[in-house]
Amino acid sequence: MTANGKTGITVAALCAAFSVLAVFFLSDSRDGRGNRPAIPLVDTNFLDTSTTRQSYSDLVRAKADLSDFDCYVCHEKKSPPPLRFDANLNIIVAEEHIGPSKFTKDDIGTNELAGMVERLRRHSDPISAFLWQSLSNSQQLLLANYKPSEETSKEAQEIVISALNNIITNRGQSFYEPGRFKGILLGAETTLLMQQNPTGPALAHLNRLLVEDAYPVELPRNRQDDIVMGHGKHGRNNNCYNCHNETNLTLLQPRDGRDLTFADTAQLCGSCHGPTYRDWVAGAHGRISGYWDRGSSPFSEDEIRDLAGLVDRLRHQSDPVSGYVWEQLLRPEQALLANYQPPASNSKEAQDAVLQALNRILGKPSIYQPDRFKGISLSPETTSLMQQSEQDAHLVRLNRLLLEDAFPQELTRNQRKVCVNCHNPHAPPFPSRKPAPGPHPLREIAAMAESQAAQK
Amino acid sequence: MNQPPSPPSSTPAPPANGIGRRSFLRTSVVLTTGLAAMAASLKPLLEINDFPTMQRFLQKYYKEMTPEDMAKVLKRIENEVEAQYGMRPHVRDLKPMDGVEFVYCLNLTRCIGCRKCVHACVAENNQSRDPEIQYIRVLRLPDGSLDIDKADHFYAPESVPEKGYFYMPVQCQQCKNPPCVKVCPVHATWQEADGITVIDYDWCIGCRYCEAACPYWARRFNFTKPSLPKERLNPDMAYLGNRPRRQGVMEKCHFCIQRTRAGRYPACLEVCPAGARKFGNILDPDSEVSYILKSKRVFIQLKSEMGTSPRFFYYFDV
Repeated sequence: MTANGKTGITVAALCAAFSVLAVFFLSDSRDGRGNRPAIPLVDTNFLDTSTTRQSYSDLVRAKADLSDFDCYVCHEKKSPPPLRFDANLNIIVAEEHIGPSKFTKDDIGTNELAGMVERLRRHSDPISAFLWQSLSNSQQLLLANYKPSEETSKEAQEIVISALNNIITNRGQSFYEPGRFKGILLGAETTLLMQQNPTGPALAHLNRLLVEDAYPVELPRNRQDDIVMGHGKHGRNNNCYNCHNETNLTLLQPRDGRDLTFADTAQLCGSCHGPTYRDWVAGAHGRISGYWDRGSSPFSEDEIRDLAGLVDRLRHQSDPVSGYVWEQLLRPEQALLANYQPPASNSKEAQDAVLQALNRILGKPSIYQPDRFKGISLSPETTSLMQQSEQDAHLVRLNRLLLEDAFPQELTRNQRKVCVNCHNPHAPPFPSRKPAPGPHPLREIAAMAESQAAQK
Repeated sequence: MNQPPSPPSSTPAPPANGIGRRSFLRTSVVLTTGLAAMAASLKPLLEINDFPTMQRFLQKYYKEMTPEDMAKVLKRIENEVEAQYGMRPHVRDLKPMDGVEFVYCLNLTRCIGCRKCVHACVAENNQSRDPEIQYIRVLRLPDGSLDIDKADHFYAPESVPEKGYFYMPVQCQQCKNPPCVKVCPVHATWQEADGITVIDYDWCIGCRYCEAACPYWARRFNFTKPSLPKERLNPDMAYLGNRPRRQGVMEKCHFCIQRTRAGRYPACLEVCPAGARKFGNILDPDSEVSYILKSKRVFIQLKSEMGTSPRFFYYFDV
C-alpha cells in the first residue's frame, strides 16, 4: 500500500472515531443524572424539634383539657390510696392507671381510618397481613372499595376497630412474636412491660402498645397517662409515694420532704439525680431551644412571641408586674398601646414601644419584689441567680429572667425542657428511634435499588 | 529534435486553482468532523445558565465593601433568589458580636446517632438535596475506641442507639488555626472575630485546595448545580451563611451564622432529641459551654495532633 493510501485510511479512521465521539458527546446518554433516580426528600418528621412527651405544665400552658388529671374525682382527699403488691413485691398498678386497652371510635378518626385502611389493603407487612386474613370476604371487599364518605366510613371504622380489638384480647396471650415484629421499633414502655410478663388488663394494654408501635404513623400515641412501673433497675423506686405526696396527690415530694407542684418536676428529679440536676440548671443537660445569648443583651423583636397578648396584659395591668411595666412606658407610648388593636398598621410602633420599655427595665436595679412576683413561678435559673452574692454583676440578666418568668406566654427566650419532656418518670429508659437516612451515596444506592425493585 | 508526445493521462487534469474533487471531499469531511467534535466539546457551555451578571462580576471583595455596596449586593441576591425560587428571602450580613467567641460542645455519652442533626442542618442551610450535601457526618465507633479507621458513617440499623457502639458527629471544627484558610489562593475563606470560618461564595473559584487541606473532611464542593425544592427553601438567609450556592463553589458548616449571630442556637442543637449538643460564648463565664469546659473532666479535640486547635469539643459525662 502506498504512503498516500495509508494516510487516507488513517484519516478516514480518525474521522470515523471523531464522528462516533461527537455523536456520543452530543447525545444525552452522557448525562448520568438523566438515568439516575432522584434522591427522595427526607421525611419532615426528622426535622421535628418537639420533645418526646408533653409535661403537665406544658398542658397547663397550652390550656389543654386537664380533667383527666384531677386525682380527687376518684380518690378521697387526705386518704392515701392503698398500694397492692404481687408475690414478688412488685407494685400492682391499678387498672385505671395502666392506660386504655381497647380501641374506641374516638381513637380512630378520619386520618387514622384512612391510614389503617390503606395499610390493610396493601397488607405488605406481617401484622397487616394477619389483620387482613382475620377479616371476612365481605369485610375485605368493603375495605378494598373504601372511599371516604359518611356511610362507608362508619362501616370501615367498625371493621378496623373490631379487627384491632381482636388482636388486643388475643385469647389472653401476648400478640408479640419476633418474626411478626421484625423491623418494628418497640417503644420504651412496650419493652419494659414485656419484660414484666403481664397478665390480665396489663396484658391487654401491652397488646395495644404493640399495635400502636406497629402503626406509629397511622395510630399515633398521644397519651401521657400510661403507667409502666420501671423507675430504677433495682426495683426499689417503684413505690408511688417516693415521689407523690400520699396525702395530697396534687403535690410531689422530694427526698427532703418539701412539697412541690407538678410544674417543679425538675427539682423533684434533682433531689435524687443531683449531678444531672446541677448540669441541667447550668444548661448543660437536656434539650434546649431559643437563644444562646442569655446574657445582658436587650430584648429584640424576635423575642416577642405574642405582641397582642403582651399589650393586652400591660394595658389592663392585670397583675403587679404588668402594672410595673406599664408605669415604665412614656405617656405617648401608653396612648399608643391603649388604642392598639391587632392586626393594626401600627404594630411596628407598638412593638417598638414595648421593646423600649422592657429594655429600659433591664438597666434598672433588680425588679424583684416578693409582692410583685407573688404567684409567678420563677425558673431554677432565676432562683439560682438571685441567690448569688454577686447579684449586681448580673442585674441585666436577672431582670431579663424575671421578665421572661412573668410573661412566659408572651416573651420567648430559652425554652428549657424539663425532665419529663424527654423521660417518662414511670418508665425511664430513653426511647430508641429509627435513624434518619444516611449520607448521600448510601441514599443514592437505596433509591436506585428501590427503582429497580419497582421496575421488576 | 522533436520530443515524443506524452501519452494521454487517465486522471483528469487538476483545475487551474489546484483543488481537485478528491482533495475537496477529503478536506470537507475532515473539516466537518473537526467542527462537529469541537461543537461537542463546547456543549457543556450550553449547560451554564447562570452566567454572572455584570453586578456580580464587578462585585468587590467582602472585606472591602462599604455598607452601601453590601446593601446593593444583598438586594441583588434577594432578587436572584426570588427569580429562581418564587419567594423573597430576607438576606442579612450579620457581623460578629463584640466579646463573643463561639464554642461547640458535644456530649458523646448522650448522642444516640439518630442523624436528626444532619437533616436539620440540610434544611436550615439550603443545601442541595440532589445530590445531597451534608455538613455533618455521624460516625459510629465501637465502644472503648476512638480510632477513626474503625468508624462507619453508613450505618443503617432498625433503631439507634445500638449496643456496643457510640456515635460521634463530625462537622467543621471552626479551628483556631485553620489549614483551609491558609491554602485559599484568593482569600475567599477566612476566620471571623467570633471564631467562625466563613466562605464568600461569590469569591470562591472552586479550586478545592481547602477541601484537601481540611483534616476533618468538613468542606463540600458543589460538583453540579445545587438542586433545592422551592417548598424547602429557608428564606432567613445570611450572606456568609445559607444563601443558595452556585455550582463550582465550596461550602461548609458555619455554625448557622444566620441564627447564631442573632443570638439563637444552631439548628442541629435545637433538633437533637438527646440534648447532646451544647453551644455558646466561651468568653461568657456563665455560658453552658464555659460550665462544661470547667466542670467536665474528659473532653477531646478531634485530631488535636494536627495543631488545628478546634473550637469543637467532645466530652463524656463523668
